[in-house]
Amino acid sequence: MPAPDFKADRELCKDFLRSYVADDGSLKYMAMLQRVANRKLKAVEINLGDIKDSKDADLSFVERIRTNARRYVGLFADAIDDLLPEPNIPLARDEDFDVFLSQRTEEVPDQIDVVDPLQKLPAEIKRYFEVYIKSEDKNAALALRGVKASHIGWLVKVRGIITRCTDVKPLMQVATYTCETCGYEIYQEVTSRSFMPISECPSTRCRTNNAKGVLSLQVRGSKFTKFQEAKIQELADQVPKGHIPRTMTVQIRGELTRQVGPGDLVEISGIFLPTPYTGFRAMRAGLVADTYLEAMSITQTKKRYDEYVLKDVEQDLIRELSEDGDIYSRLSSSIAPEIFGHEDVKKALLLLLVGAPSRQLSDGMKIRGDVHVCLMGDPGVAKSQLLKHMVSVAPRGVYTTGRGSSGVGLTAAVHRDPVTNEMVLEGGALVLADMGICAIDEFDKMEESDRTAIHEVMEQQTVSIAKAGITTSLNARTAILAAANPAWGRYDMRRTPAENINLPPALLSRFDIMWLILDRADMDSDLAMARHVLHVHQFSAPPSLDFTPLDSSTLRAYISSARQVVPFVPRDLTEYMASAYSALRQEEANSDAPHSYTTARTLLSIIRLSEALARLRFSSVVAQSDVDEALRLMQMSKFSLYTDERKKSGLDPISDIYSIIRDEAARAHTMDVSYNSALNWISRKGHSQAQLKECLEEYAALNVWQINPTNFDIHFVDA
Amino acid sequence: MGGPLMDLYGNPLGAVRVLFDKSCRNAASPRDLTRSDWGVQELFQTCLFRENGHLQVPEINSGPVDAIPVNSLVRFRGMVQDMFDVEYYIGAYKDQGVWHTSKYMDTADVPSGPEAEPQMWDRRLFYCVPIPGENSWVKEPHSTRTSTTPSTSTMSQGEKRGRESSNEEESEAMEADAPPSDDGGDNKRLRGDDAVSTSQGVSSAAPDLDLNIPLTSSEGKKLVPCLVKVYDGQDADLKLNDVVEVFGVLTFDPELSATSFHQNGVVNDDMGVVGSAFLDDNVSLRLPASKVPRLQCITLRKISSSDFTSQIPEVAPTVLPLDFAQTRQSLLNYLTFSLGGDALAAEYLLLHLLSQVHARVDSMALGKLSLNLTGCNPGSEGAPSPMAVAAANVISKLIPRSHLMPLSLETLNKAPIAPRKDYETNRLVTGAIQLADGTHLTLDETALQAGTLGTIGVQNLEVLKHLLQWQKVEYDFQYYKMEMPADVPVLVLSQGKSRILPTDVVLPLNPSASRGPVNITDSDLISWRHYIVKARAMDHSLDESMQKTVENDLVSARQEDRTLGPEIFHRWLTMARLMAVSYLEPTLKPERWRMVRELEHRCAERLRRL
Repeated sequence: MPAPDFKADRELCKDFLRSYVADDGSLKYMAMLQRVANRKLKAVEINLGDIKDSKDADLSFVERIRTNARRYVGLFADAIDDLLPEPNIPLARDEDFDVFLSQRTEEVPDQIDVVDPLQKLPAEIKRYFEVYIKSEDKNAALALRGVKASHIGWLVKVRGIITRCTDVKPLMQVATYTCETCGYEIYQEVTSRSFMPISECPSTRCRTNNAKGVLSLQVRGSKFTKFQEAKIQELADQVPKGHIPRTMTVQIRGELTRQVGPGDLVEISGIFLPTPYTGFRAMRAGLVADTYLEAMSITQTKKRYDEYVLKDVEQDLIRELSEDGDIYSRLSSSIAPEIFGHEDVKKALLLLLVGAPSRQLSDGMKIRGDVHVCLMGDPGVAKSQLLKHMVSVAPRGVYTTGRGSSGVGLTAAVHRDPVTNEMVLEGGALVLADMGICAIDEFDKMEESDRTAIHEVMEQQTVSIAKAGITTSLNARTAILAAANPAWGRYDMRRTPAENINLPPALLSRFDIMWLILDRADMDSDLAMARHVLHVHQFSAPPSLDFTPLDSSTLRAYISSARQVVPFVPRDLTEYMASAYSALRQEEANSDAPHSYTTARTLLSIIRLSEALARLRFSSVVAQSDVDEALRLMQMSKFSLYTDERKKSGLDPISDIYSIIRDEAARAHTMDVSYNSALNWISRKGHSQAQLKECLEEYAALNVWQINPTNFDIHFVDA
Repeated sequence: MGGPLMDLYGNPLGAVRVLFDKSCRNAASPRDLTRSDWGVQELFQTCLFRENGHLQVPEINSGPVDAIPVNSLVRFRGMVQDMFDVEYYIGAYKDQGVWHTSKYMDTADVPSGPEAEPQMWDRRLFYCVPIPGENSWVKEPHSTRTSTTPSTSTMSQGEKRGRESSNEEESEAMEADAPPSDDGGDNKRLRGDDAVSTSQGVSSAAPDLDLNIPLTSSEGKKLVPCLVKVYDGQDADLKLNDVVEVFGVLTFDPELSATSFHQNGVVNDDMGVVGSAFLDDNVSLRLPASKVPRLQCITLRKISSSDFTSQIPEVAPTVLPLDFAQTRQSLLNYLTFSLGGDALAAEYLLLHLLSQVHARVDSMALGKLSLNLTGCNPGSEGAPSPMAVAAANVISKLIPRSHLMPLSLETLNKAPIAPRKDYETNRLVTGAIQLADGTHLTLDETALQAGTLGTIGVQNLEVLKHLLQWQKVEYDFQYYKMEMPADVPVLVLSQGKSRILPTDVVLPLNPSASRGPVNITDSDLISWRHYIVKARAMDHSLDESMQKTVENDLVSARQEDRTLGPEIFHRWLTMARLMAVSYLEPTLKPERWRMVRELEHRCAERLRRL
C-alpha cells in the first residue's frame, strides 16, 4: 500500500467543500462556512455520505477517511482555514478571543527569526470552529461487540445506552506560555488528556543567551474546549444469551457535549482510538492499551410510532398484508400466538395497539384516542403473559404492577438528588410510557395515591404534580392495559360483576373495554390442554399452530403505518351511532339490575374502536362495518361478564348466606367465625342449616375460607 | 512424545514461540498472523487430553500460587463470574527486523519507535471464581493430584475420602452460620498482603476491593479467583456462569500490578476531584495480581456438573447398568433413612435430585421439579433446622455442587442475592444465587421469623420466586434487566406450606422411624453418584400408544377434578420422565406412569389430612 499523499488529499478536501452541491442545489458546505465565518455556527459536520454522493466521488478517498478519520479531521480543518470566507455581517469584536487573536497576528511579523515550531502560532488557536466527520446515515450501527481491534483508527457507528457520564470540563487544546526573560509567547498543542508542561523557554533568543527563561502558563491566552466522558453500554437485545453487555468509553468534545445523560439511547459515530498512555503509566503499563471512541456525532434514538422508519421490504409486506381481506383476525391472532383461544380479547388488544387519533377541539378540549382495556379473570389464565407480550410488541411499552416496582410508583415522584441536593422530578411508569402503552398488572392492588392520579391519566392524559415547590403537568399519553384479579381471588359466579370487580365505577367507566377471562370447564378445551402439555413434554417444543403468526416486528410495522391514518366518521354514520347508543341506554333503563353504566364515555368508546378499525383497513373513512364490529366487541365483553349471571336476578340463598357471614365477620373485625354463631345469623334471615353446609363447602372450594373439619368453624383466608 | 510434553508444561511460551516463528516465515504481512493461532491450541490439546495428560498440569485452585513458577502451564477450574471489556494489547512487534510475539504475555520489551510496527490485537478477559458450592469430594481428587504423584493407589484415596466424608457433616453444618467470621479473616488477609505488595500508602483501596466470590464458603480463604485472558475467539460459546477448566500460562508480574495499583493512587492524589470524575475504570488494573492471578488461556473446556466422573477412574461406569435397580433401591433406602423414615418423601426427593431443565418452551423451563417439604421444625436458637441440615448434608454427598441457604430475615435483608452491575467499578457484583447450572440449592424457610423485610429482602424473595417459577434470574443492569437462564434445583424446607415460595411439589413430611446412625460405605456413595449422573444423562421419549394413554388419563382426571390445571399436568409429565430415567429406561412405560399417579395420589392424601 503506497503511503497516502496527505497534501493531495487536502486538496481533495478543499475541492469537496467548495463544490459539493446538496439536493436542493445549494453549496451546502460553503454556506456552512459562511455561517462559521459569521460566528453563527461552531460545528462543521461533514457527512461521509455527501463525499460519496459528490459528483466525481473517489471511493478510495472515502475509504481513506473512514480508516484514518482522526487525520482527516485535521486535514478538513486545514482546508477550512484556507477556504473560510470573510464574514458578511458585522461582528462584535470585543471578545477575549479577538483581542488575543489580533495581538498575535500583529506580533508574528516581528519574529522573523522564528524557527522553532513551538513559537509558531498554531492553527488550532485561531479556529473558532470544530470539524466533525459523520459516518453515512445509511450505514447500520454496530453493536459494541462488533468493534474489533482491526477498527482502531476507523470511523465507526455504534448504538447503545449511556450508563455514566462526567460533568463537562474544560480541556486544554493549546497551552500558551509567556517567557519571563524574552517575553515571547510559546504555544504547545495538547492532543491527549494530560500533557507535560514546558518549563524552559525554547526560543532562539533564550537559547542563544543560555538564559533558561522561565515560562508561565497563560490561562487566558490558552485555548480550551468543552470535554466530557461517557460510558456506552450494549443494549439488551444486542447481547447474546448468557453474556454480559460490553461497555466502551466515549470522549465527547466541544459542541457535542451536554447532549447525553445516563439512560439515553444513542447512536454515536466516532473514531475508535487507543489512549496514548502518558507519564509513569506509559513506562510500566506493559502491552495493554485502553481504547475509546472519540464522538463525531451523537443521535438520540427514541423509538416511537411516528419516528418508526419503515424499510422498503416492510412497506411491500404491509401493502401485501393490507390487501389480505382477513387482516383483522390475522393480526389479532398473531398477538401472543402461544396463548390458546381468546380471539375477541386479542382483537380488543389489537385495537388498543392501533388506537384512534386524539383530537383537540378548537376550544382547547382534548379527546383522547388511546383505547384503554381492562382484563379481569381467575388467577392463572395467562393475563400476565398477554400483558408482557403486548409490551414487547409495542414500540414503547412499560410493564409494571399496581404496586409499582420502584419508589417512583406509577405517576411521578419528586426526589432529592443525592449528589446535587436539588429536587428532581422523576417520571413513573405512566410517564415513561408516554406515546406508548402501559401494562399494569394487579391493577386492583394499586396504591391509593396512584389510584387518584390514574383518573386524570386515563381521561386527560397528563400527570399533575404539586410537590416540594414543583408544580407541573407531565404528559402521559398512554393506552392503559390493566389486568385485575376478582375481589375474592376467584371469580364468584353468584355475585354481580360490580361486586366481583374491586374497582370504583368512576375508574371502570374510563375503560373502553372490560373483559372477563374465565377458566371454564368443557371437554374440548381440556383435551386441547392435555394435548398441548403432552406435546411440549414429548418434543420439547410447543405444538405448531394451524396458522403462521406474523412476527412482532411485522406486527409493529403494520401498526405503526396504520397509526398514520386519521379516519373520520361520515355524517350519515353519526346517525347510526347515535341510535345504537340510545338503544344501549334504553336497554339499560329497562333492566331492573343495570350491570354497567352506559354514559357518554361509552359513545366515545364506540367511536374510538370504530376509528381504530378503520385505521387497520388504511381507510380514512369509518365504515358501518367498523361500527358494527365495535359494537359487537363491546357486546361480547359485556357477555363475558354476565353470561352465567343473566338468568338470575337477585342472589340465591347460598350467596346470601355467604354475604351474611362475611358482613357479620367484618363487623366484628374477625377472621374466625364459629359454626354456631353462623347458624344463628343465617337462621334469623330464614335460611336452613343444609343451605349453610352447602355454602360452607362451596366457598371453601373457592378458597375463600377454610372449614375446620371437626367443628365446622370458619376461618376466612386472608386474600 | 515424552520430550515435547515436558517442554509444554515447563515452558509453554517457548513452544508458542517456535510455532510463531514457523508461521512468520509463511506470513506475507503482519495481518496474516492474526488469521490463525499458529497451531498452538492443536498442539496443546493433543498433549493435554490424551492419556490424561491434563492431570499432570498443576492446579492453582487451592493456591498457594507463589509455589508455582511463573510462565509455566497451570490448570484452573472455575465459574465465569464476570466478563470484562475487550483488552487491546500489542500482539506482535519487530525487534531488529525480526517479528516477535507477545501473545500469552503481560509484559514484553517492545522497542519504542515506528520501526517496531506494533500490532494491536485483542483478547477477552474473563473473571473466574472458584466453583460456588462445590463439595469437597469433588475437589479432593483434583487437589490430591497436585501434591502427590499421580500413581496414588486406589485404596489410599478411598480411605482418604472416607475420612473426609466423616468430617463433612460438621463442616457443612458450620457453613451456614460461619461466613461472617470467615469474611473477617479474608479481609484481614487482604489487608496484610496489600501492605506487602504496595508500600506507597494505597491501602485505602484495599477495602474497596471485592473479589466477588459467590457463596464465600468456609474454605473461601484458600480459594483464589482468576483473571483469564482468552484468545482467538475461544470464548465464542462461553457464557456467564459456565464452569470451565482453563489451561494456560500463569503470568505474574508483581511490579506491573504494584505500579498500576500505585498509579491509580497517584491519579487520585494529583487531580483530586478531577481524577475521580474521569471514568478511569480499567478493572483489570485495579485487581492486584497477588489476589487475582492472571492466566493466559491456551485452551479451555467447559465442564458440566456431571463431569466429575472423568476424574475418578477407579469405578468403571460399565459396572453400573447390571445392578442399577439395586443401586436405586439402596439410594432410596438411604434417602428414606435420612428423611426420618418417610419413604414417600424419599421417592420425591430422588426425583427432585434427578431433575434438571432439559428444554425451554416459550418461557417455561421443562424438567424442573422443585420440592417443598413441610413439617420441618426450626432449629433452636436461630440454628438451621435439623432436617435442613440433614437434607443438605445428604445432597452434598450426592450432588457435586450444593448449597444450603437459611432464609432468615438477616440473610434476606443483608444483600441482594441477584447479581447486579456496579457502574462505579464497572463490575458485576455477585449475589448468592449466581450459581452454575446443576448447583443444588436448599432453602431453609424455618429460619424465617416474624419481622420486617426491607426493600432488599422483598426483592430477594421476588428473585427466588422467579427462580422457582421460571428457572431464570434477572440480573440488574440498572437501565434494564437481563434474564439469565439458570438450572438450579431448589428444595424448600418449611414448617407449613410455603406461602412465599411457589414450588412444584408440596409434600408434608411424615417421619416414622427414629433416626439412627447411618452406615454407608464409600463404594455406596460412589455408585450412587454414578447412578445419578447416569440417570440425568438419560434420554427420554414418549411413544404413540403411551401418549394416548396419558392423554386420556389427563382428560378424565380433569373431568373429575376441575382444579387440575396445566401446571399439574406439566408436573405429572415431568415426574413421569424422571421416574422413567430413575429406572434408566429410555421410554415411559405404563407402570411408571401409574407409579407417578400413585405418588401424587398419596401426596394429595397427605395434604388433605392436614
